[in-house]
Amino acid sequence: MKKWIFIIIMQICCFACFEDDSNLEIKTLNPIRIENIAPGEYYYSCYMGDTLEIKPLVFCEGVPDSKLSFEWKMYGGTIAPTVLDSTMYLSAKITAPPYASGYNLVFTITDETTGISRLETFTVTVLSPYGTGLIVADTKDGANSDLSLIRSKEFTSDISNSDDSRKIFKDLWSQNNGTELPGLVLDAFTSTYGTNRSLTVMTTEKLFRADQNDYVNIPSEEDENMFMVVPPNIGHGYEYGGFVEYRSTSDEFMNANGLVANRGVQNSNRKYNYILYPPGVRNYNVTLMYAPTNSYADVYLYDDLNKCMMFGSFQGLWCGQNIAGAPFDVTNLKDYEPFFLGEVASGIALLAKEKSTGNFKGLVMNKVSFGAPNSNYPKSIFDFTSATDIENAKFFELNVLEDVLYYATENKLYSTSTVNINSTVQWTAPIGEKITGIKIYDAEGGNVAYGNEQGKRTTMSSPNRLMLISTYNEGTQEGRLICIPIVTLHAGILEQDSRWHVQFTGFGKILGVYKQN
Amino acid sequence: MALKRIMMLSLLLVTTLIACNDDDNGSESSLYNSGSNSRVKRIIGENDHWGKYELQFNYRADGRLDHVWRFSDDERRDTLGRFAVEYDVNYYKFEIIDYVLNIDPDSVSILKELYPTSWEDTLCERRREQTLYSTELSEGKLITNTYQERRGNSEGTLFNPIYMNISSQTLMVENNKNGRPLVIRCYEDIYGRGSENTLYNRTVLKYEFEYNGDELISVTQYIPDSYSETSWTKYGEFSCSNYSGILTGVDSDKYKMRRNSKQAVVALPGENTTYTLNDEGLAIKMESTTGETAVIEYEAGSGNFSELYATPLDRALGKVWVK
Repeated sequence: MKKWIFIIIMQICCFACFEDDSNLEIKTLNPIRIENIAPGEYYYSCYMGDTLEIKPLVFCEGVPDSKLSFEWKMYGGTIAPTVLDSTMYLSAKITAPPYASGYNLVFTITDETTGISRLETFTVTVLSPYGTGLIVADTKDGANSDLSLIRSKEFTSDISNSDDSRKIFKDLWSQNNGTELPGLVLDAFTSTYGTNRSLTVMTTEKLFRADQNDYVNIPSEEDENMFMVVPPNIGHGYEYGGFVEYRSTSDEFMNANGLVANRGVQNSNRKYNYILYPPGVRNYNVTLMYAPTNSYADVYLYDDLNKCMMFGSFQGLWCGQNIAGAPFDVTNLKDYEPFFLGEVASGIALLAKEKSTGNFKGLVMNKVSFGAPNSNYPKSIFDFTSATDIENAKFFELNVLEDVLYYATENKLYSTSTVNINSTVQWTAPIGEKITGIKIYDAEGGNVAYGNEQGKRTTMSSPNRLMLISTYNEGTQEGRLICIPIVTLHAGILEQDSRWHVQFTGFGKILGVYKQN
Repeated sequence: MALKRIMMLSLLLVTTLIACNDDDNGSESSLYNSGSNSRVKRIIGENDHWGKYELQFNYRADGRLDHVWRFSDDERRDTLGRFAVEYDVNYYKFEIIDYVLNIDPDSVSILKELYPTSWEDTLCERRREQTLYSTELSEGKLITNTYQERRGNSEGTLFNPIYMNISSQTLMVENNKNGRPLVIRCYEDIYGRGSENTLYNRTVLKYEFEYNGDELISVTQYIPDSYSETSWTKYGEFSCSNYSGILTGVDSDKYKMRRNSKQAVVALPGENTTYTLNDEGLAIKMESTTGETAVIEYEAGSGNFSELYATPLDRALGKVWVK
């Protein structure tokens, strides 16, 4: 028995000494490592048109770097899967349209010695580079137009007050559509209501629509396609017209060849309603239209056919009533030739030439919200006939913060109080340049710098404190936009020190400037 | 008798099993050998930051550095700082720590006037530790950080004794089968000064080492390049010379090293450092053109000081002579 036990134990010992013959040629593969990217850095954002760079340090121990291949592929949204780069570092111009939800960007690294790949997924949010700013419409040939966008601290709150860099996206329309806008731009208007964004442009040829995030024309929303029922004044070119916003409901009012339609922007609505007609009015011809930008007051319109004022809200248009003892009759302006409608501190002002006397008058109306035909509109009249050079004035502007009239001849910009007419020259165009338009920046956002009494830099909000003057040099065929702070309110004094004037050059003949929201 | 036989069998069994075991600990025991039989014991020197100083090195039983004290080089021998090391599995952290006063010089003067006999006790209580330099091996990456005391804010309400990080380096080393660097990939961050200290400028680099047998013959430096098919572009080269298997020279645009049996000279832009070597090739004296000097003393035994404070890249390029 003991002998057997000894034999068994010896056998166990012998087994213990046996070689392990299992396959020792198995090599553990080293993982493909990605360094230089922190775990939280898998989300990137990039402006459309900018270059996106991601710089991972990739290697696999034991594998030469030359045996690693790379692929950066982006997909999602409406784009087809696109390979952006095939090197370790991604450096690629992002042409995909803005997509707030974010595209998937898959980084595939393949170890060519084994065929094994590692995939990492990044999220890339493409932003529109065309944020809020100032749209400049110009023409280079007198027949077609283009739109440029100025992004600078003067016109947006997105840019820090200390950031003096000013970017102009030149000729955005033609760059994004391949061709200029046919015709000359009469007006352009942007609205943003949630995700319902629209840039509507009226030229002498047509109405166009784009998303202001990409400036790509939307053919299905051109001209007649903007209307539920196409009115007779649409689709035949435009002589005059424009847009305003009725702030109370954000409704967009469009005057096309004198007829007015509105568009509610809620519920993703893209189309204008029927042409609006005031009760009892069968025809009219609006030549001037104004809506206050800093209050919820009604839309004011001048009807040149019936020589009267009209008023509007999201509910429609209406005419006023003659009020006994009022300084003027809003229903009968036959003795006036109105040429400008705007707003001063004391109310909405219609600038006109009095036919019977040849005098220049400002008919000031009370600013009314949610008005009605019997609202008390007429308020006062000021006479600015004695304003220097007024008979040569071509451009007019009023400021809601002050009772001041700004006007410009071909080469001089004047201002005068509307209470005591005393014109002073505020700016003179350089020799060779002619003034082509003046406008006070009255939209929201932006800051402007000017010199205080000691000449030191001071800043203030841009709205209603920045005069925009466009000029054109026939010799060089260059348009220029000069932005000058209004430093003294109620006197209409512009900053005289040219160090505080901001100018944007390189345009064609400027047709207008418009806020981009 | 039966018991005797069982014991004999058991002994035989145990012997047999032991004979079958692989020796898996061989590499572990040699991990901290520096190649020579000496390790630094004391350094007495002078530099811009510390002035005159003395460093006293203390080791663990297994040869690993335990801590270093820094004393003032005068008869008081105040402890002014320390080197600290923390070890774990596949991990270590080495720090050069200064003791700095968390109290501004004007307040020290006031304390001195008010408490002429005990003011120094208060100073002892108000000192705080600031890291001047650190290395950390973690998850296969070696990270070095260099700090600097702030300038121009040493008084009154601006007093701020906290050191600011001025640079860091992260190295990922890929060794060959002989345990020598084959590829070192790294990124170097240079931090902005003042209020821009949270911003850094990063440079990604790769060093490829070429050997002839066991002799390093060149090191090629690359930077990533999006326009290159290989994603990398050659940026610089270090050519090396050897004598009997010993690195005797390194040449590049911005770095040179020469050594003979008695001296090693390391040249960087604007700075030359000369090391006087002992028979084991270790520096016993150091002199720099910046005015920095040191005398280094060694003792018998193995140590790991140079592996803790210097990067594999610096060691490979012959920048490290204190072991």
